[in-house]
Amino acid sequence: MLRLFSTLSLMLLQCGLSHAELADLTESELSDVSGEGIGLVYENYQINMQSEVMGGETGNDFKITGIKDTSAQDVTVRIGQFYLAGSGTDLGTNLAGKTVNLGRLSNPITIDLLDGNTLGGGAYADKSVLAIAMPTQVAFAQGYDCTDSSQGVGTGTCSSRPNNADGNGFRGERFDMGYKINRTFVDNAKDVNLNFHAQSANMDGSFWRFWGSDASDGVSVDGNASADSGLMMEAQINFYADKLVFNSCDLDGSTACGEQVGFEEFSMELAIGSAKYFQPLTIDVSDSGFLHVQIQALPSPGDARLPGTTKLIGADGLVGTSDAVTHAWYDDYYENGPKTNISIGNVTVGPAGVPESFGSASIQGMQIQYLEVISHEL
Amino acid sequence: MSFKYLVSTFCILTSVSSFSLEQIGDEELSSVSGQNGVYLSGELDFNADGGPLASSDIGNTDPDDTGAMLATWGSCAEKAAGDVARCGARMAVELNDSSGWVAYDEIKGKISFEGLTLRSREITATDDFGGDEIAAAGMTVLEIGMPEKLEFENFSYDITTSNHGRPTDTDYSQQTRYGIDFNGSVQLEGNLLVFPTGNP
Repeated sequence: MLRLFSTLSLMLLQCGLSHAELADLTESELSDVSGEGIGLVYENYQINMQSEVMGGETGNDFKITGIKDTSAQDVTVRIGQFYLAGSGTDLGTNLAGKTVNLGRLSNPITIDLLDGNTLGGGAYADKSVLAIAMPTQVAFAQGYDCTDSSQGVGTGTCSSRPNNADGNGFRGERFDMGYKINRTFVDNAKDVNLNFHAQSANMDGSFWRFWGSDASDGVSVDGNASADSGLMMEAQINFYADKLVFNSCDLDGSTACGEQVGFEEFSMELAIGSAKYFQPLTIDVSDSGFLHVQIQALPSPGDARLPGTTKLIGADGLVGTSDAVTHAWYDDYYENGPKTNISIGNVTVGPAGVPESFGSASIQGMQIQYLEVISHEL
Repeated sequence: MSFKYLVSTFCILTSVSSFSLEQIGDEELSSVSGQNGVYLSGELDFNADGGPLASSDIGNTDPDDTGAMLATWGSCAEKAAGDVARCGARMAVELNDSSGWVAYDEIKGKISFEGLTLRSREITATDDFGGDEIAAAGMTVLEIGMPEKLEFENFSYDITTSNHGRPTDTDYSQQTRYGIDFNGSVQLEGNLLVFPTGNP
């Protein structure tokens, strides 16, 4: 069959009918071609999952199973509603026509395979790194305030625009999202509804990176002395919202709700793991099937992976008594290493509409030197 | 007619013919509206009859070798009767070489959708991306149109961690983290646009 096609193609050429010819690409055309990763944009998007008890279609019932209370009895957790939509949904009650774009054509969500030799100061040398990233943050002049949805261009570093930014009439790239969860116990008197809503939120600047390490990288994922090979991770998880709302209502999702806790101008920047400072996030499962999650410990002075000659730090911690190169490495870690920041512009508590203000709260510059989480049987 | 004859005839016909292929003018081209899309509806049904092994299969042993249980895997009716431990599909991943596994376990039930569309689309200056369409005009993207509804029927799975890949392995031990059990429909709207992008 292949021969038949080749013969026919050859004949057509010989018969002299074709006028097409291959032309050189111009410099300007070539400069546009740089495709290596995949860009994703959700356009005009909305998802809504609503159980029958909260007004969804008959028969809708979304359960999360496997959770037990302190007396080892099953707790049934039901998703009453989950929604992700455009802003202005009024806590998920007004979804019609409220759609959102996630990612911009000029700054999309990306899935990419990165060259480890060009990343993280040599920390991923000779590795391929799978990166999943939300839209990146941009220069202040082109960006928008990450939390306050009333601000226009030139007020922040977020690329995702609020609804009707600068009066452009466009739906924007910031989403409303919420969960309404009903937890039902064997003893019905304990049943409870808990709701979480985010208004005009975005995740700009977030990324997740995955790579494989082998024993020569010196990372032990199970906590024993020998190095393992396995999956390593590093993530920056940013979540910004104009407002977060937590409240509790009747189990049928009616408007009979208690007082609400509000976090206005909420900003969370979680730095999880770091390849550059030998601190990847690793996940392991023990011999009994228990989960074992670690952010690897920051190398102690003297560790062979550190730069420098003696790699030691003096007892007084000053550069004069230490290996200068090693001291500079630690300096760089504290100065430029990944830091977790959480800030809330205004905490409010009280009835919807007339809450009391408790002022602002923030955690700034938190660095994780070591984290280990192990699950145990109750 | 043999193939050689067919070839010769074809060549003669094309050479002698007074018709030749001609370029289509811009005006003519503008009236061509290629139907380039695909409309999909589908249904995925996991382990409707249980499995993946029948309770009589060799090697499909009682998980703890005690009691009246017949086998690890079997039909869902056998599971309901307590004769087997499992009747769902399992997808397990070993994250590193220290022998631990993370698994989607006991996957069962049905997912169906109606109206998933796939088509190639050119971004034009008349699209509304809040101004971004001007710079992106002419870019071709793959447009995946979300189905209006995604239906779940007794769709369930557990997220588990275990010390071995297969539940039939010796000394198998697992912990269930949580699971889901979905019935009903999820409403979706919008398109997912997929396009190549540069390396940052």
